[in-house]
Amino acid sequence: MQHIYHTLSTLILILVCLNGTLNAESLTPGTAAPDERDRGSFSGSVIDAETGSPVSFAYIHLEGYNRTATSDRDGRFRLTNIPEGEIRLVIHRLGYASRSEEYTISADEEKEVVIELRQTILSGGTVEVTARADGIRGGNLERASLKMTGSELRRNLGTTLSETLSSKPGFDQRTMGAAPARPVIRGLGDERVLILQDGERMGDVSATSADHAVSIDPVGADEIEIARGPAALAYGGNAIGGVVNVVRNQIATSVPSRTTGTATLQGSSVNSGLSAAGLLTIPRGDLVYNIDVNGRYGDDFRAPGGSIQNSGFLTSNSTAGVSYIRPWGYTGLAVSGYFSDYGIPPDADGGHPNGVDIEMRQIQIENRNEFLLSNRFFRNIETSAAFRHYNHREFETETIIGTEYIVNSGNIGVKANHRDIGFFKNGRVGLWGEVKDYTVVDRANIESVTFNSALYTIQEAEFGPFDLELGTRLELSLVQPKEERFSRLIGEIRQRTFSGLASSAALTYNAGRGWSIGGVVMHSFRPPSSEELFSQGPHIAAFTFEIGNPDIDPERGIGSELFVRYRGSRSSLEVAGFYNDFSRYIYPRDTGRESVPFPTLNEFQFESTKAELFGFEAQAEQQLSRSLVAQVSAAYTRGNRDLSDEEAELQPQLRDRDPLPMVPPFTVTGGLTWFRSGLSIGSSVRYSAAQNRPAQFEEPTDSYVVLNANAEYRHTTSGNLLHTFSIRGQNLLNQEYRNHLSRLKEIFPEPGINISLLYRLYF
Amino acid sequence: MLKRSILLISTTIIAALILSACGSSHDHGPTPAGLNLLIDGEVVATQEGTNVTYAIGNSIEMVSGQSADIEIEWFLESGETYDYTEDDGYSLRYNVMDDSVINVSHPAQGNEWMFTASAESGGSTEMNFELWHVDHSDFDSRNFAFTVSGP
Repeated sequence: MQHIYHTLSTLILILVCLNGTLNAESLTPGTAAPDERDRGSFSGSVIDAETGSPVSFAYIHLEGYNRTATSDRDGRFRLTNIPEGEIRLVIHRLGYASRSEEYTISADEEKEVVIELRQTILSGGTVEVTARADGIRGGNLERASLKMTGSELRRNLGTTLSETLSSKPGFDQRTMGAAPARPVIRGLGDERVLILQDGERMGDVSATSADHAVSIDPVGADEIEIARGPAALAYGGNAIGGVVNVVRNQIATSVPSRTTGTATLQGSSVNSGLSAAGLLTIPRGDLVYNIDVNGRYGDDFRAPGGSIQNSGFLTSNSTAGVSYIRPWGYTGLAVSGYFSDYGIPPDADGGHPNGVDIEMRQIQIENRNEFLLSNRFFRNIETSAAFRHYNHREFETETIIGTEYIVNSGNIGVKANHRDIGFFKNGRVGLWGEVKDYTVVDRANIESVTFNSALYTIQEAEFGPFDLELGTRLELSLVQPKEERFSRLIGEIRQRTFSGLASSAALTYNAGRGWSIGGVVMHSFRPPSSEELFSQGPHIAAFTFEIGNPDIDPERGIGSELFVRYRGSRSSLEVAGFYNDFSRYIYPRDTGRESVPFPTLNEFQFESTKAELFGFEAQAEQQLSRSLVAQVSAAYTRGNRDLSDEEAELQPQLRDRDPLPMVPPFTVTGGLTWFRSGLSIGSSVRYSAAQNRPAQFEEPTDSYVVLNANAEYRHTTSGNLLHTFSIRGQNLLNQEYRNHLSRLKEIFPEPGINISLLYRLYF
Repeated sequence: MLKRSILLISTTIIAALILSACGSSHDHGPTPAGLNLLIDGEVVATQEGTNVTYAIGNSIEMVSGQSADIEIEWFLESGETYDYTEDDGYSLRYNVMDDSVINVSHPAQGNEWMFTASAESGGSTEMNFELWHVDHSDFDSRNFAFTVSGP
C-alpha cells in the first residue's frame, strides 16, 4: 500500500505546486505577466443581414480561450481580456446561419465590429460542426463531430441524456427501464462512449451495466457536444465511439454584463412526469456566481397494454459555482450534487420478481483555472482538479441491499494551448491523472484502487483547402485490488498494469461551393475496468451473474470513417461510412449457462474477442419553400465477433463468427417542418427494421413505425425576455414496439403515446 | 491575494477529500458449489453444479404419515464440506411448492441445517433451499423432488 500513498502524495504535490506557481507574479523571465495593458477587448453588434435589425441572444464564442458572450436586445456584445494576436470568433443563433470570422487584435485595442447573420430555416445551417472539445469551428471547413443546442435541444429534450440524443442518426439508447439509459453511437457504448460534464468525467458506474443510470440530467444543459477523432483524445484513449460533453458552464469564464439565466418547466403525459430547472448567472465585479437547480419526477411509464412496472424516478441535479475573472485569466470553484431514486422493472424469470429500486448519490467538487500568457509560444494554460464521491445502492426489497457501489475518484489536469509550431497552426499538450477507489459490496466484493495517467497532444494544420488534425495520447493504468488472492471462479486476483498509445488523424478537403469530403482514423486503447477484471457474483438488477477475467488484456481497435458533406443556402447533406475493427473487444458474453448459486441468472463471462462494426449514416435537409423544410436521415450498423475457443469447442456447429449483441437495426426517419416568424411545426415518421441478427441467447425484435410531432413558439419581449413554448408528441399512434438495445425488450415494450410540454424563459 | 486564496482552498479541499475517502465492505464465506440432503447420515439427494441427482429413482420417496429429519450439508467446488455458522450470520430458508404433500418444520433437533419433512398425503411436490447471509441469499438451490406414496 506504500506505493499507493506515495503516488497519491505525488499527485497532490503536483497539484499544489501547479496551482501555487501558475501565478502571474512568478512566471519565468521571458514570460511577461499579463496585465490589462496587454489585453484588447472586442465589442460589436450582431444584425440581420436582410433587415439590418439587431439580433438578440446570438451566441458568440472566442476560440482557443473558452470565452463566450450573448448579444443583448440591441444585438450588442463585449468580450474582454483578449491577448493580442489572431483570434477567431464563431457566432450562432437559431434561425440564422452560423458564421466564423478571423480578426487580428493588438494590445490595448478596443475593436468594434458589425457581424451580419443570414437567415436560414435549415437546422443543418445552425448545428455547428465542432473540431475540438473546447472550441467551435465552422464556416468553410467541416469536421466529424456535432453539437446540439438551442431549439434542437429543447425539441428533443428527454428524460435522459441518451433519449435527448436519440433523434440523431447513428445514436441509440441502451435502456433497462426509463431512467438507466446510456447513449450508444454506431453500435458502440459503455466504456467506448465517454460522457463528460463541462469537460470532466462523471465518476459514476453507468458504463459498467445496463441498470446504471448516467448521473446527468439534460434539463440543465446549455448544449451537448459530441466529439470524435483527434478531439476525443483530450479526454480518453477509449472513446472510439465518441465523447459526449454536456455543457452546463458551472464555472463561468467571462463576466456577463448583467444577471442572466433560464427557468424551465416540463411535463409529460406518459408517466405523469414533471421537471423544473432554474439557472442564474450573477456578476459582481470580478466575481461571477452560477446557481443551477433542477428536479424531475416521473411515475411508472404507460405502454400499450399496460404500465411498465417500477419504472418511476425522482431526480435532482444541482450546482453552485463561483469564478474570479481577471486579466490574467480566471479561477473558479463549483460544487454539485446528483440524487436519483429510480426503479428497475421486474422479471420473475431472469431477475428479481418485484423489481429493484436504485438510489444514486453523487457529490462533486471541482476547481478550474486559466492563466493567460504573454508568451511567444504558449497562449494560455488551463488546470483542473475534481473530486467525486459516488454511492449507488440496489435494493432487492425495501430493506435488503443486494449490491452497493462506492466510488471515490479524483483527477487533475493541465493543458497548455500553444501558438504556431512549424506548419501546425494551433495545438495543445496536456497531462492528466486520476485516482479511483472502487468498491462493490455484494455477495462477492470487488475492492480496488485504479491509477490512471495520460499525456496527450492535439495539433491542427491548414494547407490551402486541406485541414488536418492529429492527436496522440499515451495512457498508463494501474489496477490494484485491495486483496490479492486466488479465486476458484476467476483465477488469480492481482495487480495489473497497462500502457498504450491511442492516436487519431482527421483530414478534411474543402472542395468549394459548400462541399467537403474527409476521413477520420482512430486507434483506440482501453484498459479493462475493475468489473471486467474481478467480477464474480450476481448482479440481480442487471439480470446477470458476472464472471470477470483477471488475465484479460486491454481492448484495442482501429476506427475509420469517410464522409461527404454539403452545406448550401437551401439544402444540406451528410453521408458517412464507418468501419471499426477490434483486435480485442471486451464484452460480457451470455454463456447461456444458469449460474450455480442463482438459477434465474445466466452466467455472463467477460472476455475479449476479435470484432468488427461497420455501417453508414446519412442525413439531408431540403428547403421546399420559404417556410417548409423536409428532412430525412438513415443509419445502419452491423456487428460481428469471432467465437471464443470455448464456444468453438462446445458448439462446433456454429459459424466462425457470430453477431455482436445489442446492435441497433436499420432505421430511417423522414419529416417536414414549417417555419413562420417565431413558430415552427413539424412531424416525423421513424421506421426501424427488424433486428434478425441477434447474438446467441439474444431475442430478435420486430420492425416498427413510430409517428412523432413537435411545435415551438419563441417570443422576445421588450424587456429582453425570450419565451419558448415547445410541445412534443411521441409515438402518437400508441404503437407497441421494442427497442433492440433494451435489456427488458422481452418483458416490456417501449412507452406508449406521450405528449410533453416545455416552457423555457431566457433572461 | 483572492486568487491565491481560492486556489489554495480549492486544492486543500480536494486533497483532503481524496485522502479521506472511504468505502465499506462486509465479509462473505465461500459460495457453495452444491449441497447434499441426508437422512440418518445417508445421502438421499445431491445438487452438484446445476444438476440434482437422487440415491434412488428420480425423487426423495416417502410414505404418507412418515416423518424424517433431513440434514443439509453444503460443499465447495473442491468437494470438501463447509460449515456455515449462525455466528457468521448464516441461516437456512426454504420454499415448498405444495405443503399438502410435504409439510416442513424447521429447525429440527436444534440444528439450523436440519428440518423435519412430514409426508401429509400422496402426491409429488418440489422444495428448494436458500443459504441466507444476514439479509440476503448467497445461494438458491435447484428444486428437489419429493414423492409421497399412499393416501
